[in-house]
Amino acid sequence: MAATASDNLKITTDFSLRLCALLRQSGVSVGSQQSIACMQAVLLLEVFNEGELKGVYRATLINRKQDMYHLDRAYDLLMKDYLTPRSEKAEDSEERNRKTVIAKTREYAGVMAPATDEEEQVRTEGYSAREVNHQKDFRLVSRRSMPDYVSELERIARRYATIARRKTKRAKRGGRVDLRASIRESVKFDGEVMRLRFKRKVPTHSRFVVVCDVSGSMEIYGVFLLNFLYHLHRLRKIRVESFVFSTYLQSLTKEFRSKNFPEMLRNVAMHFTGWSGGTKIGAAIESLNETYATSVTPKSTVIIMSDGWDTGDIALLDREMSRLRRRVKSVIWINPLKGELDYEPLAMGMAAARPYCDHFIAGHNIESFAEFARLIGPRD
Amino acid sequence: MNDRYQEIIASLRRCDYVADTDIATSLFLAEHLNRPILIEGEAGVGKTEIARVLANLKNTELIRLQCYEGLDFNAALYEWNYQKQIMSIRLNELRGNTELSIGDLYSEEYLLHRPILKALLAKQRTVLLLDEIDRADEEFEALLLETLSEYQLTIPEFGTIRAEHAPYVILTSNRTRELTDALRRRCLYLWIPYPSFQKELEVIQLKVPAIGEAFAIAVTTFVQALRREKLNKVPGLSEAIDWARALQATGVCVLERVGVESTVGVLLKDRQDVKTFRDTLLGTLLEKVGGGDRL
Repeated sequence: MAATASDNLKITTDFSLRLCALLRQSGVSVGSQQSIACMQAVLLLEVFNEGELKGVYRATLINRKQDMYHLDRAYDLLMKDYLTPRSEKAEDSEERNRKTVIAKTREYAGVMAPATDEEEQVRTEGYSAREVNHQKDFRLVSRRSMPDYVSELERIARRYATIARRKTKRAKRGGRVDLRASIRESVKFDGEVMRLRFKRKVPTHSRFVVVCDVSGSMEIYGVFLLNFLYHLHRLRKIRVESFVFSTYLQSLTKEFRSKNFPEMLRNVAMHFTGWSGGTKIGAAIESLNETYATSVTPKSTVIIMSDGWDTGDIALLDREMSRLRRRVKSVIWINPLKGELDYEPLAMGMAAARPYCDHFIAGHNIESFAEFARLIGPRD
Repeated sequence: MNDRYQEIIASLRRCDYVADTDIATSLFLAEHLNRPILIEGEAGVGKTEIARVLANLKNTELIRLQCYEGLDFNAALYEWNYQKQIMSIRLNELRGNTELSIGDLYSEEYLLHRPILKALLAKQRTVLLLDEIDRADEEFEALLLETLSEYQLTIPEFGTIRAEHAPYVILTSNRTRELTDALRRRCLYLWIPYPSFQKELEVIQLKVPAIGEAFAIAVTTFVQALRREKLNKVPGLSEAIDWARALQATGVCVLERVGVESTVGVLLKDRQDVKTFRDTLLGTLLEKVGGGDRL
């Protein structure tokens, strides 16, 4: 079943529209004038190959050199989404309304097996509102299914925070009987256990310092990380100092005491003026090293979440990262871009900071957050 | 590649302009969607040249407006011919006429056409070049919005002038200032990077035919390598062409120290750059060109 010209056009149009939406999500201002121009160009040129299509997008959709990078990324991401065959269950409520589109995208991907009516039936029945795709990139999560993803993150945070720790400490009473110590003590009474000894679990003493980039390029991911952190905070099982930065750094530990997540976001937004701004990682780390020096101890694990696109001084970043690395237990860098298959840390900031990181993980979907939780969890 | 692009590239080539697909796409879309093109890129990569070549290609007039700080609508859009108006009023008084009304004073007769109005009123599609728009003030951009999106101009005393033949509008910017979103939204965007080796070689051979292939390759390699060095002002394509011309005119036909040093002023326009070039870069670059000096 070969796609006809009009099918091709439909798919391209659909693709272009989704690309516009994705670009808007990643902070590129694509006005309706621009998407109209893009559509006109698509209709005008009719015949397409990848290079030409990209050329059209470059000319019509973006209007800044910086945005070219976003365009390329959004394009690759969306293409990947189109080319991977869908899982049997619809991914979110929006997807259900777009069955026809799915059928078409399958065609586009060369998977020439359009779902039969029966399959469609099963797919609809198997649909569950709380079903979330653990591998789905956060940028592709629609606004409507956002709460599902957020609660899934909360679940992981809870699961992690309630992991029982095995380290124990002597206790006067309560807790469990410490047989080993009791018997050891019985030696002096010639093997007669005169008195039971008790032990209780102690919390691990790791401290976490989280530095989260909320500049324009990271906005979407930042919301998810903040959410994850908020739930960790609330469970009070671990000590977390949180900071956000774009061009400057600000402590959020106080804001995390808010009643619920939306309220926290409001509080943060009220006190932090740098949302969706540029990125100066070097300056942010410097301020962490100097202004907030007390929260950075040799017991701390520093978690930095950023895509490494730095508009500040790279030499400063290099110096401050090395200073920071010497003062803390370990540094974990979460980079959502790592989720892309062929990613290499080439962004100037990332390349400078990479050598100072103990772990370098992705943070673009639920699965990567679970990995992150396992990583910071106690090693027993 | 699309035939239509091929055609544009070929016809640009006939006008001595080496274009790639991106440029062809933008020109094609600008023509068919009737939208202005905003061209950005480093200095000397051929932004302004596109307008000139386009005018040449379409066999039409190029109306150029060089932007500068303080440029206002009197110099860019239109102006009333005040002297003529005063003269008319005086003459009217002297003759004792009562026919002259305010409407007459603000008629076409008294309107001075500045570049943008001129482009709108032209009898055929002209090319309107707004050069270095980033040098003009932000307020000036707002004045352009009507013209750029509707190809019309509203003069309060006169009415709205709509273009019969919408001009090809080309805006260039060197990014000395961030342009407003409103302006950007109305334009197609074209970023011209520094040329690739192939493109630069082609251009140099096209513009300086007498240079000979081997020497052209040496010159291109040298300039491409120079661009990768840390300089205050990286030489653009136009500097490379000028340099090739200069070398050719001074009779240099191999790249060696003396010949390069005497013509370096064509390539580098910054005192500090020239100094580092003479002190350190020249030797290593000549080595990099790899016996290019013996070609």
